[in-house]
Amino acid sequence: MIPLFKYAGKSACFWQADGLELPCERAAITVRIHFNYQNQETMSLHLTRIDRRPKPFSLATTNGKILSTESYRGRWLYLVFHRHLA
Amino acid sequence: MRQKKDLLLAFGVNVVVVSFAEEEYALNYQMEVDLGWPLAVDPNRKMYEYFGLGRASFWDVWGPSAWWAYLKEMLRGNMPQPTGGDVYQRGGDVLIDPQGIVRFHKVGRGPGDRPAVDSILEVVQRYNCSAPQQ
Repeated sequence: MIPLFKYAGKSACFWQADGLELPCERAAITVRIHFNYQNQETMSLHLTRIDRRPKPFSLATTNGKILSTESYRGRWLYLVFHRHLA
Repeated sequence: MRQKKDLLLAFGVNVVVVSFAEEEYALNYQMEVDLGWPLAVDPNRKMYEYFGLGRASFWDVWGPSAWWAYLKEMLRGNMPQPTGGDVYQRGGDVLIDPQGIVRFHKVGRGPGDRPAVDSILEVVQRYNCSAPQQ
């Protein structure tokens, strides 16, 4: 989670976080709004963007294998996230 | 995309399909459609969340672009099947380079909103050309 610094938008849409400014179309953004004990609204920004190294992950496949970041080191990996299966 | 499997392989791209369905359901699906790629399951949707694949809006799922996508599939002979799955969960595409860096990221707006395979291969080609030779 990256603290949300500010949202700036004039003619274009930008997110500014983590000391970097990023056009909205190059970022997948989830904003979570929390209320602390003083009922002050705080926000945090989950910013997944290109040109960054994702956190290490591992996923189980239907044939019992475990796929992890390390399994694909040195190879291109294309993750296709399905919507519902139908 | 399945039609361009050989091309993806030729470019050295390893495809992994990720589903939030339960393993048993995913396994049945894989056998039914002869997927041809590993199918990983993420029933808790942690990876979906991590890559910002949140909830679709009503219009993303049931709007004209969705109907158009379904119509195109039907014309190809792929009839939509009823599903018990969460139709509002967004899909998406993430391409990670050999150094482990995300080079392409797309959050799907709704059914059928996928990047063309050619655009994925274009990214691969661009980075392969600019990568330092070892």
